[in-house]
Amino acid sequence: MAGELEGKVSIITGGGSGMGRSSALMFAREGAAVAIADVNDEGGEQVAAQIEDSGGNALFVHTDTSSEADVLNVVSKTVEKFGRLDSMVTAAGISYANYVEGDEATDPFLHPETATILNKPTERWQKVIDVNLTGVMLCAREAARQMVAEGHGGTIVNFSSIAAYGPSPGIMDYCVAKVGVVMLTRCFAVEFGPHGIRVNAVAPGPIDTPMTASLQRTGALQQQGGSLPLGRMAQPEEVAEAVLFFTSDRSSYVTGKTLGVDGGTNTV
Amino acid sequence: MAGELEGKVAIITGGGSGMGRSTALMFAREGSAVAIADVNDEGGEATAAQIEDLGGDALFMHTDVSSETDVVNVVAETAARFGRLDSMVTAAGISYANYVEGDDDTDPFLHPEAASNLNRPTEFWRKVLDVNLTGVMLCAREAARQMVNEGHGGAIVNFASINAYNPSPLLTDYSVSKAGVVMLTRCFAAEFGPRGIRVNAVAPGPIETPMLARVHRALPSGAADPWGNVPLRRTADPDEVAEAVLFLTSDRSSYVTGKTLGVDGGIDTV
Repeated sequence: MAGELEGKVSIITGGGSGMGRSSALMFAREGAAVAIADVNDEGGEQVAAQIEDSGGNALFVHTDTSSEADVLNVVSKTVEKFGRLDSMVTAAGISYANYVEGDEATDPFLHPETATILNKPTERWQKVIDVNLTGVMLCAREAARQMVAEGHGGTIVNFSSIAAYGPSPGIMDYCVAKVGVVMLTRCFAVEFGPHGIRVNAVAPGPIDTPMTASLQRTGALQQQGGSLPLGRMAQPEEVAEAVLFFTSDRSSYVTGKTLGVDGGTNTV
Repeated sequence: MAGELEGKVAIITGGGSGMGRSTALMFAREGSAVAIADVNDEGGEATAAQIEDLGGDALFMHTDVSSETDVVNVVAETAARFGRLDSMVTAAGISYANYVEGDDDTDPFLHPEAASNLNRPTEFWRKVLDVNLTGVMLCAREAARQMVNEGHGGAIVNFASINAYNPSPLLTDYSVSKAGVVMLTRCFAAEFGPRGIRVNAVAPGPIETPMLARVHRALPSGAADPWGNVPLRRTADPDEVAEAVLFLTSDRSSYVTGKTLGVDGGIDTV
């Protein structure tokens, strides 16, 4: 049986680890050619290689989603190599300014005192907004431009978070960026619906990814998951299934929506 | 390839027409045994026969979802016939009190003046709440009881509506009942999550069903397309809602519970 995304071409930001990686592998299994866009060269290359080794089509492009030039570059490289663009998944994100560098001294979960609103420098706020909100806007916009230019519809799936609905001390910048993604998703859905481009988002809860590793070290994430109705944290594949649903024709009349994949956290 | 619901047993209320019927047929194609619960005997029997003709397992039970006796009965009969219960889909609903009877005189779209809050008798309000809200509660509760007794998890998918978010002057009772379904879904998810029972809802927009046909026939000829501003610029086929119901029922949504997903072409809701 042919996959759900046979003949389609996707860009997945943050495809080098966590939920982006799970989405990339799942999309490839469903027949899509996948471009991995990540600042994490090692992870990104590895996912692309894994897809190629399984007989799929993949490409890795070093991409800082907060850089307009990088985003333009990955879209054009993808179209050059695979001939079209059908879907964009914006999984790239950071939980704090120095997340990519793995700077533990400013990790808000390990050092909450440095992450209070009173103590957090403006440039750290700016960095989180740049990647998690402006980065999503740039990727969604450039994907939409490409799809409109190609004259066919498509899908965009953004990554919000349960943090969009629940303020969390220490990650104020992250919470604000993620609630911005919910509204951005609605705005894009309204504008691009007439072009046949559907735009939705997922809002993951506690998921077992590298981003939550420091939370897992403190035991906080397991505790959070245990208090949810479903009583556990989840694997990234469980989020990738929702991303696939929003990308495939199975959700043909769904647009502008953010679906919590959060074990029942009381949100939307 | 095995279907997504192979070996599962589902009850689908309102399975005799519209989105309930599409869901019943899709579930059967995915390998589920399906009990159709409806007040519409002709439609319900037809859906069940269609499933049997395709080699599936189906059962029709005349069921008024606002009757506790009927709901208890359909759950018992389904478990007796198919041996278990894994999912409940509560698609049965009415847009106005006399919808099932097809009473044109009280159709709110044909006679808006009769549907004003000032003019509507209390019993009309009560009837709509009985079917659309209490009916959902009864079906979800009895399904949860059965699943808990059987000692395994399951999935419940309720039908809300875009009217849960958008008040319509002609549909106060309907709108209020559907908003209630959104909260009921969250309450049930919180209580039954620890049992492995996930509870979600869909909130359909304009879907080409017999219920929407009643809306369209009331439009004056030459009227502007009421759905012209929907971002996707069209109404939808019931199968497009059934796909969301299937997603929320299958293991593909294993970490999703308490949620209401709009299937509405982008009408600005949640």
